[in-house]
Amino acid sequence: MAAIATLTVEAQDEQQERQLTKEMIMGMTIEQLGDLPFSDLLRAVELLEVSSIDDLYAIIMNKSVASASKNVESAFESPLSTTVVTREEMETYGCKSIEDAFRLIPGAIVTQKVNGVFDIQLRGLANIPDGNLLLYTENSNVLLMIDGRVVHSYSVGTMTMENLPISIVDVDRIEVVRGASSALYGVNAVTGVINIITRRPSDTSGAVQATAMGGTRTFIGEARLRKRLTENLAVALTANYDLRKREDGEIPVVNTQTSWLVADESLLGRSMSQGEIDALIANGKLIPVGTGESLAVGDFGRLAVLSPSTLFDGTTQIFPATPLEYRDANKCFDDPELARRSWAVNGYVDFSPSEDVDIRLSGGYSQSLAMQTTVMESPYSLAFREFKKGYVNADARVGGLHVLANFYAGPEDYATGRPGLQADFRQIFASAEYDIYVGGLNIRPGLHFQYANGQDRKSAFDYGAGEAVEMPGFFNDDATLNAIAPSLRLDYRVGKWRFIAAVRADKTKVPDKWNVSSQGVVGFKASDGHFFRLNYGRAVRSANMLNANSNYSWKRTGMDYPSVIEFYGNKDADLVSVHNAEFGYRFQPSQNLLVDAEAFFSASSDYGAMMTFDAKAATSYGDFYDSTNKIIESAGGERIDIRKAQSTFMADIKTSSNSSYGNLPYKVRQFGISVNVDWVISPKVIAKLNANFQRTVIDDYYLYNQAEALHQQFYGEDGIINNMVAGFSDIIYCMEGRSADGQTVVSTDASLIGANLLPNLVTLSHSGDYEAIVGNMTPEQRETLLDALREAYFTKGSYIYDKEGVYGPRRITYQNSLALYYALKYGIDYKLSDREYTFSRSESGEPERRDGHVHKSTPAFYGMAGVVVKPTKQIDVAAYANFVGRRTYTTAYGTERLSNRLTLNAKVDYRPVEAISIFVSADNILAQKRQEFIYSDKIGCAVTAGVRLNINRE
Amino acid sequence: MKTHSEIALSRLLIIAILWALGCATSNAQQTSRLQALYLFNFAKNTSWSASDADKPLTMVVVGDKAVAKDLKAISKNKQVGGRPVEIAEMASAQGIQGADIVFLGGAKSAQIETLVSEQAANKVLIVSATEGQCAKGACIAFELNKGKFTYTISEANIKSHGLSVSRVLITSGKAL
Repeated sequence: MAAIATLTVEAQDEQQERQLTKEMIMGMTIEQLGDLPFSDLLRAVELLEVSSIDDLYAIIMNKSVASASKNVESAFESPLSTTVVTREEMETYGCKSIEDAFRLIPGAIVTQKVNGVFDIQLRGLANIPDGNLLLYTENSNVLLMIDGRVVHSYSVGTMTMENLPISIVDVDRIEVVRGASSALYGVNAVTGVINIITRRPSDTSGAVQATAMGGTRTFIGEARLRKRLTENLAVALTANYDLRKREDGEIPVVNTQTSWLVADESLLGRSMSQGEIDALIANGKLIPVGTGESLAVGDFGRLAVLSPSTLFDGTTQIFPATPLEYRDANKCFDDPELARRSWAVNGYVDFSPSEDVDIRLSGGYSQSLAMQTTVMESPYSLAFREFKKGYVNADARVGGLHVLANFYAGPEDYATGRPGLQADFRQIFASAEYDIYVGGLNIRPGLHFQYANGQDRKSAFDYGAGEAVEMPGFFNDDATLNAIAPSLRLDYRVGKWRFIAAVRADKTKVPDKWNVSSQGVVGFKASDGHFFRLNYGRAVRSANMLNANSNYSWKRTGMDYPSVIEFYGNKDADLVSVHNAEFGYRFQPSQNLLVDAEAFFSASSDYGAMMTFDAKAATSYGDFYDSTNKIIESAGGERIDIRKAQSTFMADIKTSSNSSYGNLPYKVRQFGISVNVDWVISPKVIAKLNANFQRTVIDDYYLYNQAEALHQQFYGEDGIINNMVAGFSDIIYCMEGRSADGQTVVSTDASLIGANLLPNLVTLSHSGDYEAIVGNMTPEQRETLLDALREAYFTKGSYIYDKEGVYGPRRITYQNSLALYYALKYGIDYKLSDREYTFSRSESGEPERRDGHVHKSTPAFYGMAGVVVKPTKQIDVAAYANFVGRRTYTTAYGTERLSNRLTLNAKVDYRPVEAISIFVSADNILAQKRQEFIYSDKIGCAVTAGVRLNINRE
Repeated sequence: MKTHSEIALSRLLIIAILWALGCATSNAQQTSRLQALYLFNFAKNTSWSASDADKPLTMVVVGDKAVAKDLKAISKNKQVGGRPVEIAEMASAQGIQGADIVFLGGAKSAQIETLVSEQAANKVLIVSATEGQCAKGACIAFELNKGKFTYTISEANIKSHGLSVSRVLITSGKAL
């Protein structure tokens, strides 16, 4: 009986076990669960299916990295400051393009200038020296590679991300190495290396993958087909298309002078009395346009600058702000609402005939048209860059030998519709490295070759009144940057220790010298969860054709002086070099938490810019006029009465300024810390966080900029400052200060200024008679003014703003007042024969410099925090916040500040079946419509939706 | 200018995120619940000394409030081998006395050596939340193996503490 009862109970238990469903378990209270027999509990756990957390750990925590040592190894044990972002993470976080993925990477500063057009930096160090062209604000300190193939624009020395031939569908992972590492990877790895690793055709990923998404001003499509043809041979084809639109077609204005919008173009070129000018302003026919304000493209033809010539006949001339060649802005901005249009195709072949032989071939073609920061001075802050590039790449590993060779070529146009900024470029890279193993020691000698050539002799353009005219190009030459570099890397592992030493010597053609990079790394795995690293690296930044080979005449036809600015390259300038030391610690306290922290310090030098301080290169042939007799002598010896020539002053007289590239004595120190946390909170919640703090300080910082240099040069090496009075006269005529009773007074009365205003000088503006003010000053008054100017420019280092100037709000440009400073300082008969550093000499005869200048173009704090939630197998929800601290950019056009920026982005992904993913993503959900970069677009909220196919069957 | 549709979609996304976070939080709780359930079953499947029959069965949870809370809920008004169950929480594995089971939470995994050393002569079932700690002296260590919640069990370590467990406990786990 008892046996029967037992059997019955067992049968019931069995029945209960069979009937135990997930829903039943989920519906039980914990107390009820506690009553379950252990076997039932085990069954319940089976049903609950916690999810494949090991896979998750593998993806999040135990990534592999190849860039760190050029061998695939665990990222945890990478001896360099390394971060890996996989394609899965990019897709999960809703990255629309490869550029978006860098927002997830510590140390990366991502700036979206217009929709879908980015500048990406690692740790910054851009915009040095500041006060220059906007080009200098772009990243030129990072070595960008695709599968080890260098993708670098040697024309201007930057990364052009919009022209990457690949898109997310091509990518397996992005590996980022922070810190100087030229000895391991080659020149330009100044602040780090980005190596985008593509998927191999022979891998086991989806055979067909395609993504299409569209939404707010965005359409993106990409596809990849993969096929294994034989056991040893596999191929893949990819294609991508990216179309982004701007919110409107307006372009921000940049100018070193205040710009004015005239009511109609007939006013351009005309000279008017002060009264007539005032009337135009009062009637709204002359409207000031501050730097950074945006204009419709069609309005640029009416943009002007005022060049007061009151010295001659009391009139002011209205000069066009735009040179004749591209006065019709429609030629530069065919579709001003377009932000980016790029497409590319790529092919890959994997061939592995034996275990020891692995050959990979790839090739592709890409076209991009993107609105990017302008390269040259311009009233436009943005310009369309158009690149058309083809490439072929061969990567072969045979035993210990690794050979990489590639060719990359095509036309580059840095400002469509504008003459002189187009050229054909071609680059060849080849390298061979061989691995030798002796016990725990890996010896890797290598030889690397680079050939980068730009050619623009054939450039011809249609400009002006439809007339086809051959214009000079930017180089007017075959510009070639060659280098050959032997390298040696030693990698020794003993116990928990790892030592890497590397040296590489680049024999460059420009400059013609050996440039040595070195690296020393120590890694120590204290235990399973603790890895320490210590790293020193010296790296160099390569020359680029803009700096080395410029031979460009900017003809400013019909514009304010100078009528021509000449740009000369310098092939002898030293390369920017950096010493970088860092200490890092990776800590994995548990299987689901990884913390990676690093502290770094770098010292860099030999920065350069297009400046006029190189007396040898800056041979001015400017013409000068005498303010007393109003007669000038042209370069041809012709004497012209400036009063008669007034109306056609700029057209008739050749005035020229010369700029050449040269090194500045800046000493730049940077230090900071980065912390990155990956945390698998549960199988269904994954968090990611990184925070970066840093500070960049410049010693021997020069308090002048490129615009000032141009201005100073305008006066020429043979002129005497007395002849420059005419030049001054269009700059400084009256002074505004506060009188003893606190009232603002504008006066041309020298005695009043000297006696009452100068001690409280607040502004300078131009009207009145320079000589009446300065020429009649007593030496004491001059000294007082000198002190005030010194205070303003060398202590505060800022512009003086005229709050209520004669023409409304405007500012007196730095260089103009600086010219006055020197005139006062050295006396009006001071000769400029000693031109080198002339305008920046202090009383001691040394250039004016400042130590400890804090460089704020790089934010002091930036980072991100994100979370991915997987509530069910079919749904992923990701959200992340990205923070970039305030930045201050000083360029030739002024100083602009960007406030703190927090953006919140989110994505929901739904997979109804395994092969299909439907997603909606929103960028900048808080809709904080702010600029991420100066003189660029305000980036608002954008919502996109799309579908992704991933079919595994071949 | 943000359009109404963009605002609506943004709000939907925020709601979706909050919902998903809610779902995920409940899943995060699942692990601690499972650990608590297993611990209670470990207690039920261990042969305790008859001399302690008149004392409550004391389970000490070190460094894991969630497990302690769940364990209290499970054992409330229940007995194991006729003994009432008491749950104690401790912040450190050091100085534990009178425990029958000690559970070492993941955050305190570094204290395994101290715990094993201090409890070497006691009849204590040491259970760790951290994989691989049977090799360091734990009797049982939880782990996730290919997405499945399971445990490693060391008969040798259990015996060294003068205890024995049921066959089902041995066979359901992974023997060290």
